[in-house]
Amino acid sequence: MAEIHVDHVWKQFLLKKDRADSVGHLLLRMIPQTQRKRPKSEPFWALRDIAIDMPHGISFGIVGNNGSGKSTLLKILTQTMTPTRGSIRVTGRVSALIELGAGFHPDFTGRENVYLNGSILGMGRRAIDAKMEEIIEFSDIRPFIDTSVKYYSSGMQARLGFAVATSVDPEILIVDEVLAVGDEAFQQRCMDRIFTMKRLGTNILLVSHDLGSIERLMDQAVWINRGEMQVIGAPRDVVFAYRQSMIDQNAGKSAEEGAQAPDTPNIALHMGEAYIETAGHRSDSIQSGDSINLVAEYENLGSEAIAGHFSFTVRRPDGLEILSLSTMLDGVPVLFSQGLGHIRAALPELYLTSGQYEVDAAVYDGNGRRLAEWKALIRFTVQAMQRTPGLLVLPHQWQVK
Amino acid sequence: MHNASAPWGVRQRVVRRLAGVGLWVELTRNLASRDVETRYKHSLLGLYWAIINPLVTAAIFGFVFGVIFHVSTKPIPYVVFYLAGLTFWNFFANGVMSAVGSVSGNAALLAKIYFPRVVLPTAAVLARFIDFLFSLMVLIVFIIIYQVPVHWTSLWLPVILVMQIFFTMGIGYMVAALNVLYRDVTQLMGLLLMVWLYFSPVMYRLSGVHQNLQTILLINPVGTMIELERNVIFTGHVLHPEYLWVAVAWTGFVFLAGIALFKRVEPLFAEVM
Repeated sequence: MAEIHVDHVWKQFLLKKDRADSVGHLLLRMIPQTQRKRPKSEPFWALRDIAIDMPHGISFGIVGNNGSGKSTLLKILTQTMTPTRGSIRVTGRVSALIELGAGFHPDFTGRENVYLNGSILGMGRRAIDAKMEEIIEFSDIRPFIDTSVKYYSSGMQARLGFAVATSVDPEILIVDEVLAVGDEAFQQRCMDRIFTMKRLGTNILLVSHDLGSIERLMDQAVWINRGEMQVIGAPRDVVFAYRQSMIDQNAGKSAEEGAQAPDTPNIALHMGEAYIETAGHRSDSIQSGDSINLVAEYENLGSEAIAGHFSFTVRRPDGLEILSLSTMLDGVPVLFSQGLGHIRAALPELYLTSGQYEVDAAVYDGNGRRLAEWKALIRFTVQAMQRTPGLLVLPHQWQVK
Repeated sequence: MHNASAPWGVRQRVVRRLAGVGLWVELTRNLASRDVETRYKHSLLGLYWAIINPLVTAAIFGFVFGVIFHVSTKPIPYVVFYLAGLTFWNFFANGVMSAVGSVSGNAALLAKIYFPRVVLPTAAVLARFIDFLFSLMVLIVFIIIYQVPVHWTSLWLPVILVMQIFFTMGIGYMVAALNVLYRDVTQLMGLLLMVWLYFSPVMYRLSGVHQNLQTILLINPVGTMIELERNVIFTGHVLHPEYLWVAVAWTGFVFLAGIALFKRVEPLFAEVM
């Protein structure tokens, strides 16, 4: 029975260390308090009151911005750090995919390092012997296994590290976005392996910015922000709340930017309302595969028409560009006539996976220089019949012979 | 690795715990042998360096003190006398100096996952013990060459060596932990060991020095152990048996205090490094 129980954990770091760093400081300390200004040590709470229960067989996802305390929590869970308040209880053999290849000694061969790394992870020599073949096979470095690790590429080191860490038959596997290393094929193999282990009953604890995989693959999730738990529960709800906050944040940011720098420094063009039309009326929620129009209303305040180009860009809230429609690339010059007008792009079919999306707009001059840009001009939600990974839901058929 | 508290029977828990200890013993062994191997990787002479170093030092001191200054350590030739002391001293000094950086130099391992950190200085001291066994062979060769008579009491040597291992580990735990907090400890230990060497009967024989210097051994168990080790090999009788018990007490105290201090500082490792 493997369990993790985090009981109201708090973790404090002292930003200005309250210890003498040199003899000079040490002497300074001996002067009575009132005589000098004591350098204030700012307590910084990296984690506040985190309480998580991860019962046997449950996989847990952790999401949060950079600096939110995720890594600190992982360090506490791997027991490399102790909490300031509260306690944790971990039952079962833990292996962590943190700092893959850390602890590899460059002068030793891959094989020697497997023995050493394995014994750090709590595997005996015979157990490693039994797994050696599998490790070499998975990391795909058979010709180099008896070469010094210092001649390995970083990808090879990571592969070997991953293979060792997952070979110890952990009951709990802690994964920290290490899978950003290696090529796509290897990342896929890593994910496959992790989820094979999950099926076989290993508890997975995954920290990731890839919200999709947390949503799809975890049983429970928690969103941590500035060291505090925001939402805990079903991954779908947690990821939704997290995405929502990101959108709000971005909106706040772009509003600020807009206030500081004039949107349209070079042209007297104002963007009015922008929206999505589907089946003849406005909507901010569409079905995958719907026929839609992207519409932007503008007002040319200048005294003459502006000739130039226009673009729509459809993005995921995390910034990934999915689709870019540009009059310049299509060779369709645009003339923004005086007064009010609107510009429309018709998409007969838009097959996106369910989720939230944003549309940016931009205006360029005749030479392609960007004159103005409007971030997140339109926000919309796509609903699809099935929940599938990836970006697109395309009509398809199967044939088996 | 982590032991459950709730649903298992006591027997299962004990079995699991013992298996855990076994794994840490194995990790210690692996780290120690890695340490020894690293020192001699990519060097032509490899492990022979563990032999060459004491040989050259013994030759120099043998020449300076034995030939130039005519220091007498009869009936034992000065070279053999000095080499014996130096061999035992080097195990202590090298063990301590290896232990000093054993935790602070392994930040990458610490970040990875939890294992009892005490494994690191332990492995460092044991690695130097392996080196010591090689230089012990040099000593044996010299004893044979100079045809120095050896007493049957030499069989007690392992007992004193075990004591010395524990004492070295105790000091090793302390300095390894403190060095994580303040790197000055490395420098300080280098200096301290140099002074310590001269207050230990390595280059001189205890019976030839002033009474006051002899009583210093009461607070210098390493000196006592070196004297004992040389006594059991060459003379067969213990010069000051009362010092032996003082050294035993010191060893127990230093080892336990070392572990206690290490455990105390251990939670800070991840934060300071």
